This record gives sequence, C-alpha cells and structure tokens, in this order.
Amino acid sequence: MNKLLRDLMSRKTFIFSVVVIGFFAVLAVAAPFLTPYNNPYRVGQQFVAAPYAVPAWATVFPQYKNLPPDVRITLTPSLAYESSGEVSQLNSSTLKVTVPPGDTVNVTFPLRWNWSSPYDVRLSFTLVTPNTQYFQVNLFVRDFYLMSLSPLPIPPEVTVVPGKPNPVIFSTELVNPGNSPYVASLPVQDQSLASLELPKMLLPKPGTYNVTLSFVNTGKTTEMFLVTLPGYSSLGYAYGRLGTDDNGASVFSEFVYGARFDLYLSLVASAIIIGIGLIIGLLAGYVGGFTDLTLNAFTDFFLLIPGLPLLIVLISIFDITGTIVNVNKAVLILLIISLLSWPGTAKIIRGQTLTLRNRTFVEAARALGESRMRILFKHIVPNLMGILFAQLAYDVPGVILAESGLDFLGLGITEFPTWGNMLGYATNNVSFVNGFAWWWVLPPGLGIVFISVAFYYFGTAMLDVLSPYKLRGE
Amino acid sequence: MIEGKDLRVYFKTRDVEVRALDGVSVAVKEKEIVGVVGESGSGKTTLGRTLLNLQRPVGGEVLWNGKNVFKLRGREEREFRRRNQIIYQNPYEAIDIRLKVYDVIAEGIRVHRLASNKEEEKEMVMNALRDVGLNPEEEYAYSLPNQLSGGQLQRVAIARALVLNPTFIVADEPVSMLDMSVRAGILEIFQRQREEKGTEILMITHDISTLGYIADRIYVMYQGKVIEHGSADALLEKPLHPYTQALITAVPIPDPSERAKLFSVKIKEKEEEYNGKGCKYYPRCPFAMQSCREKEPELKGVSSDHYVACYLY
Repeated sequence: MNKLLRDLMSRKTFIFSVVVIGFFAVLAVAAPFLTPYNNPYRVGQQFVAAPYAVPAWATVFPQYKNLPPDVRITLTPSLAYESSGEVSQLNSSTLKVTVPPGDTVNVTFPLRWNWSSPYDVRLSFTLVTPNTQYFQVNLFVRDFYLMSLSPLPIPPEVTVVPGKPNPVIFSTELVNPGNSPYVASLPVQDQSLASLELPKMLLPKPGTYNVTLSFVNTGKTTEMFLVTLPGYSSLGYAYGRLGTDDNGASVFSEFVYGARFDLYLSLVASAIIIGIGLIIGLLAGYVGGFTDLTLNAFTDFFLLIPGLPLLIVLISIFDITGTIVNVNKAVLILLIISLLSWPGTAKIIRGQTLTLRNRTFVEAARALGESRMRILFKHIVPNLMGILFAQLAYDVPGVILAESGLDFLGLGITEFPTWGNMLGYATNNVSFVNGFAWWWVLPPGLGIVFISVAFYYFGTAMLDVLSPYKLRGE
Repeated sequence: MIEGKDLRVYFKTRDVEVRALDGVSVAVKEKEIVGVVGESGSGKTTLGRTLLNLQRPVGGEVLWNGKNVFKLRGREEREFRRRNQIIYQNPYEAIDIRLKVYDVIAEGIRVHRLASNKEEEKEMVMNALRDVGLNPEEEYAYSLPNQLSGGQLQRVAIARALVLNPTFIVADEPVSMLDMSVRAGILEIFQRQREEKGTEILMITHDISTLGYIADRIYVMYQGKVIEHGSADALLEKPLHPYTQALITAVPIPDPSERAKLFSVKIKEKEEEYNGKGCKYYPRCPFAMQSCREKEPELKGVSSDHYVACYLY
C-alpha cells in the first residue's frame, strides 16, 4: 500500500489531478456552506446584484474601477439640526419633526457615494403623520422631486393614512407617472425610461448627495411628524466571487452547484458504465466461444449507434412521456448516458481479460486445481484493477461532456444550474453583454477542461501503478 | 504411474493444421525421471500439458493409475490436480506477480484445504521454501516476485508445486531460462524429490545434456512424433536415429581433445520439400532412402529398452 502511494506521489500528473479533483470535490461537498443560494435559477434567488455584475475583485482592473457594490446603509440627518427645536431625536432610529402652522421643515440626509451610478436606488422609511388632513411630505434626492405623500392624494401624490405608521418605499424600479412627480413632469416618451435613467441622474458619480424629506403643514395648528431614519439600498455592478448572470443571480453559486451536480452525475454514471462494462467484458473475455461472439456482437451494436443524436431523440421522447410517468430528468439523463456509453469500456475489459486468460499464471492456477470462479476473482479481476480505475476515471469526463452538451443545447436539465446550462445560457445572452461576460463563461468552461484533464491524468496514473504487467512494458 | 496413449493434438488456424502431437505414447513409471527432448515446435510442451489435462487431445487417452484423466470429475479431479503438478519455463510468467511469495505458495494449500489453520499453513509454506533452498525463508516469504532473481523465482514456482506433495511433476524446461550457475541447484531439487519421496518427473528440455545428468529414460520427439526412446544410458551411448545423433553432436564439449571421439553426423545442406506422407525427418536426413519418402516408419524395439522409428534399423 505504501509502495503504491509512493509510486503515485512520484508522478507530477497524479499530484496535479489530485489537487484539481480535490478542489472540485471540496467545492461540491461544501456547496451549502459556500453559498446561501442553492438554486440561482429560482426567481427568489435572482437579483442579488445588478445583471452582469462583475466579480468584486475585478474592480482592480481599470475598466471596472468605479463600479459600485451592493450598498445598504441607514442615512443619518446632517448635524445642522442638532440645535434647532424643530427636529429632534426621539430615539436612536426615529426623528421627531415639529412643524409650525403654514410652515415647511426640510430634513436633509447626506449620502456619501464613492462609485459610479448603481443599478437602482431604493429608499425606505416609516412615517407617522399627524391626525389631520392638512399636510404633505415630499421626498427629494438632489433636486429631483421623487415622491409626494398626502392624505388626500391627487396623482402623482401617494396616499398616507393620517395618525398611523405608514411604511414608505421609493424604488427607481417602480417609478411611474402615477407615483412620482418628477416622472410625471417628463415628456411622455421619456416616462417609461425613467426607471433606467433615474439612478444615473440621482447618483451620477462619486460625491455627496442630499436626500431631503420636506414636511409641509397646511393646517392651523402646530403638528408633529415621526419618521424613521431612511434606509438606502441599491444593487451594484460588482458582486461576490464571480459576479452575476443575466438575471442578477450569483454565478459563483451556479458554478458551485453545477460542479456538485456534474461530479455526482458523472461518478454515478461512470460506476454504472463500469458495472455493465465489467460484467459484459469479463463474461465475453473469460468464457469465450459463443458467449464471446454474442456479447461482442451486442457490444458492437451499441458501439455503432451514433451517440449524441440518439441521446437527443431519447431525451426528447422520454421528456414528453416523462410528464406522465413522472421520471426525474436528471435520472433519465443519467440512465441514458450510462446505457449508451458502456460498449467502449466493455471492449477494453474484454481485450484485457483475453490476454490475461491466456497467460501462463492462469494456466498454472488451473494446474493447481483452482476452480474457474476462483481464477476469475483471484487472478483475473485483481489484475484488471488498473484498467477498471482508469476506465472509471476516463468515463467521468465523457459523461460530463455528454451531459454538458445536452444542457448546452437546452435539451437537458434546465431547472437548476449545471456547467452545461451556464455555458448555454451565457451563449444565448452574450451578445447583450457589454463586452464579454468572462466571469460567467470561463468558470464552467475551464471547470470542464480542468476536471477532464485531471481525471485523465488520474486514470493514467492508476493504470500504470495498479497494472503489474503494464509496468514491465508488456 | 501416468501413461499417455496415442495422444493426438491438432491446432487449427484458418488454413493450416499443425499436428503438435501425432500419435504419441509415453509412460512415466514410479520413481522415474523421464526426459523428453526435441527442438522447438516438436510438441514437447504440448505433451506435458496434455498429460496434465491442460490441453484436450483430439484423440488418445491419459491414464493416471489406470483412470482416464479427461473423465475425472469432482473429488477425483481435485485429487488429480493436487497430485500432478507442472513447472513452467518462465517463472515470471507462471507466477501472478501481484502476490507475495507466501501467497503464491499458499494458494494450492488453500485450494485443496490442506491446512486446518493459519499456523499449519505457514509451517507448510516455510518448509516448502526451505526444501527448495530459499534461506532465510521468512525473508523470501514476504517479498514480491519481482524482487527475486529468475533462479529464486523458479525455486518459488517449484515450491508451489512441491507443497502439494505431488506424485508426478511435469517440468517444462525448468532451467532453460536460468544461468548455468543455478541450473544444477534446481535439477538437484528434482533428484532429491525423486529419491526422498519417489516422485515421478517428466523433464521436458531441448538440451539433451541436461537429461544425461538427471533422466532415467529419454523420449526424443520430432515434429509431434516420438522417434526414439529408451533408457538414458542406452540412448546417449548409442543413439540410433540420425536426428538423435545430430542432437548429441550439437552438445558443446569444453575439452577439445574429447571432440575427436565424437562420431560426426552430417546434415543435408539443402533441405528437400516434405511430401506429406514419408518420414518427417527425411528432408533433413543424410541417410534418406526411397522407403523413407513413401511411408512413415513405426516405432520398433532394437533391444528391450531402446526403441527407434527409422528404416535404418
């Protein structure tokens, strides 16, 4: 055992393969701990940042330099109000605003902005108004008159209930001429573009911008308003380890869960392939004669079927009937790939069994009085171990490629991320991206390449080390 | 006592039929070392394998203590397998090199359940290793086959056979792969086995001088037929068949003065085409006559322990 390990460790390619496979295995196993989003294709897990957000670390590159991250802060009023009697701190998160009759009090919250404009701007606060009909509260960012709150609204004013706490949310995504005085003031053709243009106008570049709440009392008595400190939040253009896709979903989550699924599927499929291949190859090679002829013809038949077209046809057929028998698509793909991929493995195992069967030590075992079964399991199968491990490893990339191919074409799994899906969707959307969404395309692409190479090296190392008769150059 | 009668083994390829054994009868009597000699392709190895039921003949039978070995089943077959062993030419090929030497030798014990527990098995293995001269046996037992030299590994292969206490051993060129220096040691193991346990041995070789050293009787084979057999002394002193004479002449003798005593046999420079019905050897035979070309000679006795298939006698 020790010798085996030493043999393996002396190969640089083996070490490379172990490192790469280990890396992806850790990603796959630790996926739930690495990312909170277990299926970024579900709507609830999208828009964690702006669509096509670059990875956070990519902001070191000049072209991504000023892109904002996701920002979520609570604004505080400027210090100027400390002394005046009109605005006072009720508690740590609530302000009390006292407005004399017929007067207006403005409360300004400075917003320090260090980046270029974000994807959207959201402001939220809770407002408790006096129990009268005679007031109005207006929201400004810089000079833009974004929102007007009133107990008797005339559009674009928005209703508030007097004397009660009213949660108020302003979002550039939701503005329309009916709820925003600024949008209503725009020419008609510009109104529908307001939600795209507003973030750029509100926060055009780094600097300090004022968010102002203006409390208007049109009544005849002094009134008191309570308002929580407004929360500011916006989705940024730089997000996480690997940015976002076209739906603003985390690419890192997709990559990690893609690795998890691809590895799992390919290992199970490889095991099935080896299982079928071993049984058929061993039987054909060891029993020989008519059995060999029959099994070999059977294998040839499967070998000559053009794989991908049949795969596509079968998936399409079963997918339609699948709604009736309710077969999981992943299981379906697993079974079809396995059942179409075993012939090569079976042929290789058959060939190896044939040469082993005719070796002198097998005849020597017969001469010792060993039964056929004992020879098979004591001498033939152990000597096949190298080939078996190698085939197991060689089949993994094959399965990953087949599965990714199906997903890429949109015929495979669509409900959750796989590497093939990522590549497929990225290809569909890449022309809309400013430039090239490398953070979306490269991880699954390189992942497939690296894991294929790693498994190939792993298999070759296993083949060399575990096959005693290979070592001597036979 | 094992006896092959009129054994015929034909190998067919697509268009050629090779007659590896063409009516060969041999007998190995108790406590006898019998040599089979002949050139490559003469059917020696096939004969050994057929005697041990490792190769099915198309005709003839092998009798082991009066029983036809091809019809043995169940317990009798297992007993036959245990009592009759084979040693191959190339020990590296004949041993599964994944296994440790201990497991190689213990394999037979396990198959035939000769040991009732682990200690007994270990003792048997160690004894076998000591018997074939592998000392210290503990060290050899736990080494891997590719850590041993050819001679050492051949001893392991012999130990694997001897541990089963066989009554008959086919030794298929057991020393031809080995250095001259270790050959005698290996041959001594066989001699001792015969003397101590009365084991019958069929020694297959292409080197007739080896047989002079060890064999009681010798069969000379040529192209699937026995052309001469007799006691080793008679056959070596007075070889009758021209082919046997040629074989003996070919043995190198280190002392030049000895060479003068040798009878010299010429071999025809130009071989004739074999006509398919005559004596197999006539194309190369310097004494070939017309009768040789027409019919194959039968094996017939020139004395009580010397038989030859040649029209000269």
